[in-house]
Amino acid sequence: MRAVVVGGGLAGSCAALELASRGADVTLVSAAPGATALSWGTLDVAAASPLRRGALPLRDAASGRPLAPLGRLHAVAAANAAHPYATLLRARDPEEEVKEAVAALDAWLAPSGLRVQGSLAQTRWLADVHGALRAADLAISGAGEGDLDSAGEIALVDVPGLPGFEVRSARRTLAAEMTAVGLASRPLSIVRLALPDSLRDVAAQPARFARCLDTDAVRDALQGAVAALGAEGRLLLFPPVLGLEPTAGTRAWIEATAGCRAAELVGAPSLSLAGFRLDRALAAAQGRARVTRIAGRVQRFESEAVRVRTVQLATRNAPGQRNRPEDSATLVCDALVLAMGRFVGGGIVERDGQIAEPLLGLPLHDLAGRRVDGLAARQLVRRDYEGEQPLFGAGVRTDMRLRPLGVDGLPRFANCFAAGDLLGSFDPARDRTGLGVALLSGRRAGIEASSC
Amino acid sequence: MLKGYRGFSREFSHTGSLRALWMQVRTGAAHVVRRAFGRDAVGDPIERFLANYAADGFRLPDAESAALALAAEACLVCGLCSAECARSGGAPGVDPRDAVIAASRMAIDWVRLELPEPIATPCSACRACEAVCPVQIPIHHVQEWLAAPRS
Repeated sequence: MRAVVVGGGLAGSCAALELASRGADVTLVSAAPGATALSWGTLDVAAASPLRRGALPLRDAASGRPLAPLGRLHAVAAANAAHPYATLLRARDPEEEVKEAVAALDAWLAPSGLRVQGSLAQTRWLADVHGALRAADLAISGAGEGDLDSAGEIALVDVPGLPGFEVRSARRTLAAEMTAVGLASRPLSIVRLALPDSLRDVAAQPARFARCLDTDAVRDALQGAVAALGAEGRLLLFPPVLGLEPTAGTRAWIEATAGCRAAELVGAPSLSLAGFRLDRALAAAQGRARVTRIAGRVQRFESEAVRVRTVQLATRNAPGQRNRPEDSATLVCDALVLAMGRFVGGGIVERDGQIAEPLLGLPLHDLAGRRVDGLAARQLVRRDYEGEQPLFGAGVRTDMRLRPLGVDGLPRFANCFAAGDLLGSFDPARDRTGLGVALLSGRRAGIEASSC
Repeated sequence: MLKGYRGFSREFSHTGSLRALWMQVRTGAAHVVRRAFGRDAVGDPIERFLANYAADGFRLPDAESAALALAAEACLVCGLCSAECARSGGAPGVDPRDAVIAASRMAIDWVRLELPEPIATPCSACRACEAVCPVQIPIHHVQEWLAAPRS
């Protein structure tokens, strides 16, 4: 069976890996790394945000007990019947579905040295680079080891010369926010990483600095400075620059050298490499699963009755050959999974002043269920910073098997599936379900597509 | 005429010179006063403006620069180029992302920015940065253009 997956983010990767594990011959077409490569290392199924207006509740209103991620997942699905979770979980056991998806992702990432940290029974507190608390359900290795609740003593690591990381300001904010949620009993300090002169200039370019930390020569030079940071029971929180290659194990080396726990802060003062490492680990997993990856964009498709038969793509020129016309290729597909994301990835575009899904021309709906394709993007934004923005909830609707619906409300094609941010009726930033939806819907789309 | 020019404070803070302040006075006040009291000028207003202010560094970008700067303006500031550049061992004098940001800024401002010396340091030209750019900016081309000596 030949399957084509369009989009190389978390949703597309999960679909491709799931299809490959079920014996399909999978081709993944990706224009460029997408939102997953720009993510910050947390993976929220339905995270709560304690200190922001309009966020999901941290506690159950009736009993006052803290809500676990799975409890909030139900709350999300109950509050919005068109949410992808509601669609996905209508006929399935949510707990099993989520657990299986998380276990599958963990197994795909583990050979690259990344793990999915956290439990679905309890939300964990992580700190971001500005010192703000983030409630995260799950987190990928790096940020994932930075659970504040389980730390005896917390030390923020100041890396001299690293742009955009204000360690004293972060400490002040973190102290205040930890007090607000009752974590204040833990001592919070700043320790300074003593960089040798040769690394001072390099620290000005975070990615280059991270790359240096992956090498043995720099690790030898930093041995003493890193060992001096350690203390019994301490959690070292570094800015998110601990290595470029997930397989290099830079964080683990720091833990072994300092003799205490070490993790990264969530977020990006200048550049977070957590998403970059996740993207590389997903690509490595696809390589092991023999998924063919093509750099390019799908431009057209051919259908026969109710099935998509082929897709035509323009393959991206090799770097440096920009002026050459793009090559085209035709792929025969028994199943097609669309996971191009929304605006960054090109799953939804604004053309001639109208937003549209460019490949199949599928109808788009906003959070309230209103048809929005054909409207201009500016008609779908409101002057309310924290309020709901209809534009950000725009996307396609699907049936329970994740097949996108056409204008008549019926699945457009029998063998076409959609996953990730392309699915509408949710705002990943606002309800904090971004990568959770990508993981659950991507894997489910792969399973459904494999039975085509 | 100067509706699109938004770079005074930015350039002022960037170069640390009084040049930006001087140009603000010259174009924002002196020019307006001269227009108010001067004779009715003839000819294309843009050409007259450039004739008057070319000595101060104002100039229309040439077609190539304008095209590159326009491409650079699509930058999302995501930093994937920086990460991929470091990973593949390229060694440009200026971080690829910084180069793209500088290029987009130069076109908006019309005024040549003072760029740091190491920008002309050649990288390994592997163009790994271009392969990961979500908005397909010709990053290496932009860097070459910034590093090229100009009159």
